[in-house]
Amino acid sequence: MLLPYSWLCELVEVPWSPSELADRLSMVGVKVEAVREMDFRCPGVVVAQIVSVVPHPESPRTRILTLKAGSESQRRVVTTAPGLAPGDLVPLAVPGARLPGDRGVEAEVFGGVRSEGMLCSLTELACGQPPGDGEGVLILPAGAVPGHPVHPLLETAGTDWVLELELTVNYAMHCQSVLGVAREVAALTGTSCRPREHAVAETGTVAEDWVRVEVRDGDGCPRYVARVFHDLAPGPSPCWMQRRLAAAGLRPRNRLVDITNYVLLELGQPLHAFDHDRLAEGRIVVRRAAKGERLLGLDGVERPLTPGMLVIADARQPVALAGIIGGADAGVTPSTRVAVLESAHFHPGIVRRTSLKLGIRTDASSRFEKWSDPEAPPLAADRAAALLSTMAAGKVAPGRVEVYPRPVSRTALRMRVSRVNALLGTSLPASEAVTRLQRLGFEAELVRHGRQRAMPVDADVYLVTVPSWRGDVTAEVDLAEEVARSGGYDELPSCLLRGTLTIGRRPARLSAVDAAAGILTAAGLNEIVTSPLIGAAALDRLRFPPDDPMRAALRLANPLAEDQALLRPTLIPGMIEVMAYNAGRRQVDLGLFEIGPAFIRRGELSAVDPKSVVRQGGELSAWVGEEPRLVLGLMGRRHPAYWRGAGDRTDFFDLKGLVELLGDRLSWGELAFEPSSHPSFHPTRQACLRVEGQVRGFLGELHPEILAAQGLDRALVAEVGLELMPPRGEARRRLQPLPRHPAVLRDVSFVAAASSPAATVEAVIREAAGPLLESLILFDVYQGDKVAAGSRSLAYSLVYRAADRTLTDQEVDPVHSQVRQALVDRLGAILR
Amino acid sequence: MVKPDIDRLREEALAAVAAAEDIGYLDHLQVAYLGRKGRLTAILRGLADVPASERPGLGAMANQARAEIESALARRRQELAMELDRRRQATEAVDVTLPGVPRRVGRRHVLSVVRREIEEFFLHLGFSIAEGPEVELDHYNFELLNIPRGHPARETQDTFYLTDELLLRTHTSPTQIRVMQMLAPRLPVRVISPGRVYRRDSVDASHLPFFHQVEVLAVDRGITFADLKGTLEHFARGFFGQGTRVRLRPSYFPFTEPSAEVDVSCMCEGRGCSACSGKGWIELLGAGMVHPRVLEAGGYDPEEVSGYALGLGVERAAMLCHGINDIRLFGQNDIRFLDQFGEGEC
Repeated sequence: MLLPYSWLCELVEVPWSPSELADRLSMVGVKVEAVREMDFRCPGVVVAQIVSVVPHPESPRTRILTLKAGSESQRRVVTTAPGLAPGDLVPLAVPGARLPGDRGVEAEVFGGVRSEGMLCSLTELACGQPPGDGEGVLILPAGAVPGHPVHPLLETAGTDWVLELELTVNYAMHCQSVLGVAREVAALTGTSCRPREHAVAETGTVAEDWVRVEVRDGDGCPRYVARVFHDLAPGPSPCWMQRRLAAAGLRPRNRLVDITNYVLLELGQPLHAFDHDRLAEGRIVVRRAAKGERLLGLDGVERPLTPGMLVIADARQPVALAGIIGGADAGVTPSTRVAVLESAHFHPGIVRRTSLKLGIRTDASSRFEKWSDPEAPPLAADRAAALLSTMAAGKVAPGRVEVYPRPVSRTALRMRVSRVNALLGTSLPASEAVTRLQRLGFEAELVRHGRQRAMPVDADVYLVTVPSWRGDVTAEVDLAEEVARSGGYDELPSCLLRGTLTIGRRPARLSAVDAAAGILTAAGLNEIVTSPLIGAAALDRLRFPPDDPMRAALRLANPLAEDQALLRPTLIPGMIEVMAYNAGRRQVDLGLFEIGPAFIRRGELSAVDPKSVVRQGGELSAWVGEEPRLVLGLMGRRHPAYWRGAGDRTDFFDLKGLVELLGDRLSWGELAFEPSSHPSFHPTRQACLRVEGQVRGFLGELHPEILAAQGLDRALVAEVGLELMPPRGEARRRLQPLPRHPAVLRDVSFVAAASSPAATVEAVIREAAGPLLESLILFDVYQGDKVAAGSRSLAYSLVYRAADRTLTDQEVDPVHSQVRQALVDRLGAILR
Repeated sequence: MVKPDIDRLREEALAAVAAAEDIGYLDHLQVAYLGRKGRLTAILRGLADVPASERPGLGAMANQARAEIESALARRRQELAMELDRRRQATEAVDVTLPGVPRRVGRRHVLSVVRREIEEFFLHLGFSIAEGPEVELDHYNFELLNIPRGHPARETQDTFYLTDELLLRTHTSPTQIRVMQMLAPRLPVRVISPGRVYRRDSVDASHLPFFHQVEVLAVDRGITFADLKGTLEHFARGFFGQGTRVRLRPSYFPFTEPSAEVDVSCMCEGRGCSACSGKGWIELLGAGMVHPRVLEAGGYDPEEVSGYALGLGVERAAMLCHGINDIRLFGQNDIRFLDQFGEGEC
């Protein structure tokens, strides 16, 4: 909301500069985002007298004017403005002039004729906006002196300030007007608002004879006030009003429309004007829409109405959507002679529902749907009438037509001062709490028990009456906030850490995440954070077939864009995107990881019954699985190039090593890696990870098609589910005693079929060696010219040890022979 | 005749030792003078021909000469060995100004670092961490937080829906209800809840459709606004530095009453800078006393207990701490960005 400072000063005494006012208001909750100074002085706009008017040779409606502005030589101006005659005094903006709103004026050429300036309308002079409905060039009074600046003739101050307010939902209910803010200022300064001018000069036929008002829905429209204006005189509003409207962000149109807008901004009460001649039988009926009715709005859109919607109708048909938008058929035009002004109070919920259903937001609806003061309609109608008569924009018919079927009573709340103090941590005396509330317009009355004078008075409980404009205050805690902010939040005490001592705990799951992240960063990987919202195209890129379970990814009902429409069922797309992003910037040596949820559809979402879910503890995992995942990505070289050379390119085994490291350090249990056929990976360079026999993830080189599409060279990716990994820290590790006896080392090297997986070879060795084998290390693998095709040479170093004695050769030799024999017997190995 | 022989021999031997330039020559000298067929040994043998009365004197003299030569040999041997070491080591010199072997240690994402910093602060105050789902019921995200359907506050949080009932949570506040429902009627409740939240906002320098928050909730008998204020002041000093001041402005959240917008004093001390756009204060977070209806929804009697809650934006805190001016950098994951921040660093 934009609030002109001068307007506020008219309603209340403001002892502060605009910027100080902004600070004070912000501290009571009326947040001022910015203060802007506005300059209305129109430098370069002077009084000029028309010397001659001749038609433009090429354009019949355009005229070429010669003007004289004081002592300087004559100027030529091209204009389409009608009704100008020699001798008229007009405002001339010469090239280089500046109109309000920082609009500049330059010389221009029209149809071959150079125009040395521009003639201004009142609206242009007032606020720099284009002329209003049917508005022409301003004709200055006879006393104006050619050559003198125009600004002093406008009778308004040359500058003003505009406060840009950012109102929260509750303040929008009572501070979205100059009066609302003025009340806050009055509360701050301990004064009260200045009364508005409501005295109206009334003439002619009484309003009730012009219009009949009938409210058929007292719930939807508790109060309806109408006033009738006749003998309307079209034309622009006075300069001061135009300036204020423009400063508040509205475009001046004509006197009647400007008055309704002005009162809306000043008092917060939306008004609407109907053309009396276009209201069938001069009747206003407030009712629900009938089936099949339609309304052509002032915005030019025709909308079908449904029976729940509240409308203003004449004797035949709807002429407005109550509190939202007027109809084009009965709206006022510059030729309107008699207008019916509506000032009403509508039910917030009905306005909100209708506005949502039809998708229309207007200044009126955004106020009505929150709260409008039920006591404001007659005041607003009178204020509009007073403005109309002082502006000589028309005449006011005597009296108001008012229907108020169910008077809205003010809210009364029980307030315990002790409770307010307990909430705020203060020890305010009751009198102070009450004074603070009274400053804001509340009334408070002590609640007495019984009628006898002798009964002790409970000085704690008050009955507080909420002002009619404060629809946001509905409970005792709201009063506590009013008491607090009225005294200033800065004045409230502060204290720290009272009550029982507690131990802060991090859940085991999060500790495990941090531990994994710690290991991975130590191993050289950077953590990334990517968007959980992906598009179906990202799943296409991962080569998932149409019937893959991945395709059942959860979908948003109202996505921002198609590429952010799904909740990721895998973290791989984000990883690929980050790799491609960096590779595109020649940052190709990457080690990355992300830990976060993948979203898995587990049940029919339409079957979710919120009430029963809440009853059963809020668990949603039967429908949506949020599975914590870890994704790893490696690309480029193991270490960057330096003076000893560059590192080798990372490959599958770097990735596998990381997974093994995590499994070991996080005590996942037994890991197994098996060839797999995940569509996103290179068909023969991928594995499925089993932990304790269960599939927990996949790892491998990305499929060549994906790499090619992303412009990547080689990239390795692993995705591991963390959800079912054993939680960390449940049982503390016990010491493993250090070996007390020396080990015996034996190597074995042999050639075996390349198709025998290393895991099988290792299993054969372990089984043959039995309990004496402590560990084994594969220290060489060779495949090439020196061994037969289809076979490879392997070399293991075996460590034998017994816990209770020093092993002798006599003991180890037969065991090692068994190992060698088993390799020959079971794998057909040729020993070397 | 023998005595001058011994003296001469000794002088000659010592001179030869002193002049020796390698250890092999010293070995030769040792043999030549002191060996079984050495010259001093020969003199000693010749003592047999000396009159018995002169023998002790000459013997002692010869032994002393032998000791002197032996010690000279040992000394020279050590000198030469050291010299040899020195020479060898000279050839082993490294250029200490060559760069060291690069070790790659990665970093956590700055959002994780800042989130953990916030977590650690509250863990030390005795708050435990609780998590909540990102796909949330409308009920928890709005209804039970005193934001019924049609409430104007729903409009300020543009929401992604999956169905009419399921949505992507727009804040971490639903965990307030989840935690209270789980713990009620136990006291005190001291919980923080970090997590990702979503808003249907188009991407620009200050908006992403997803970001991170940390929710803080304390419920107990007798908790007041003063406890909230004290906690905020303590946090601001811990997070932004000892001199940091806190300013509370009245604000509005449907699930707290009274509510406050919390500003912290800018590092520029009000002199004006781009971070605070010259105002001297920076908006940090929203907070307030838990609304009675929210306490009720959580299973507590608002007449018996009270509480405070606050919600802190992790991106916002990170941007303030590190001078990051574009929120999109967090999700871009440019390695040059990722490499700048890490745990235990400033």
